[in-house]
Amino acid sequence: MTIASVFQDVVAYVNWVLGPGQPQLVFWVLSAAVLVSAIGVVSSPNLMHAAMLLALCFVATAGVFVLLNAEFLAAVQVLVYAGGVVTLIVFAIMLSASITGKKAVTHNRQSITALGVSVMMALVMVAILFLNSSGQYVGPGRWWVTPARNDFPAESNVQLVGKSLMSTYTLAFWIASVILIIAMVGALIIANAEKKVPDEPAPGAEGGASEKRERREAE
Amino acid sequence: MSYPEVPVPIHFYLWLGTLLFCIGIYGCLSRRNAIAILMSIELMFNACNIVLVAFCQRHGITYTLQAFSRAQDIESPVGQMYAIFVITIAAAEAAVGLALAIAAYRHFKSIDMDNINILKW
Repeated sequence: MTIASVFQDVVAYVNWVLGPGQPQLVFWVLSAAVLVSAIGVVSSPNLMHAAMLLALCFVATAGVFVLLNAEFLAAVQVLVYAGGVVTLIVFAIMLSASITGKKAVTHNRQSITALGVSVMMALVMVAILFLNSSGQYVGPGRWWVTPARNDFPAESNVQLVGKSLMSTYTLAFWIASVILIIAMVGALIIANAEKKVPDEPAPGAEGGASEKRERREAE
Repeated sequence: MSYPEVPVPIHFYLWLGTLLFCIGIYGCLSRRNAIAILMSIELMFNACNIVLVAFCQRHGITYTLQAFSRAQDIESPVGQMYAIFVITIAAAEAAVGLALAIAAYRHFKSIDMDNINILKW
C-alpha cells in the first residue's frame, strides 16, 4: 500500500465523516461524550468540575435528541438543563461549601457496594431488554419484531409537539405549570425559612424564579 | 472506497440509556455531597428521556382522538411529550432539592449526607 493510496483512503474517510447522512458515527461520538462526562460527574472530586461535566453531558444528550428527530426537545434540553439547572447547581455549590482547593473525601464508604448495585442493575436491565424468556441473548432482534414506523411528517417537530401539547396533553400541561409554581414558592419558602443570615439573599428564590423564566422561554 | 449509510438501530440507544442510568445509580449511592447526589439523579432522568425518545422515534406518531369534538385525529409523538414532562418535573425537583440542600447547609453547616442522620434510628 503506497502513501498515495493511504492518502486517498484518508480523504475518502474524511469525506465520509463530514458528508451528510452519517447518523451512526455521530451517535458514537455523542454517546461517548455522554458516558464519559457522566462518569466524570459521578467520580470527580471537585464539585465544580462535576457541574461543568454535567453541562457537557446535557449538551451531548441534546445532540442525541436531534439525532432522534426531536428538535424541540433538544432545544428544551439546552435551555432548561444546560442553561437553567446547571446554573442553579453552580449557584448552590458556590453558596453551600468552599470545596474547591480542599482535598475532601467525596465518596462514602459504600462505594464498592454502590458499584455492585449499579452493575447488578445494569445486568437486570440488559436481561430485560435483550434476553428472551429462555435466557438467550436475542439482542437487537427483539426490537425488530415490529417494523419501524418512522412516520414523522415533513413539517417541523416544533409544530407537531405544540399541536399535541395544546390538544391531547392540555391537562398535563396545566398541571405541569401548577407544579412549577408550587415548586418555585416551595423553594423560596424552604430556602428562606431561617432568618439567621438576614443580609444574605435568598438563593432558592432567585433560582426558582430563573428556573420559571427558563421554562417559559422554552415553552 | 464507499461506506454504506447505516441508520442507528434502537438498541444502541437502549444500551446508552442503560449505562447512563447505572452510572447515575452509582453516583447516587456513593456520593456524600447532596448536590452531587442531585446531579446523579439528573443523569438518571436523562437516561429515561433518551429511552423514551428512542422508542418514540422507533414507533412513530400515535394518533389519539381529540377529546371533545372527535372531529379529527391528533397526531402526537407520545414519547417526546413524556420526555417534556419529565424535564419539567426535573426542573422543579432541582429547584426544590437545591433549596433543601441550602437549608440543610444553614442548619448543619455542611451538606455531607453522612452527617445528616437525625432521622436514622
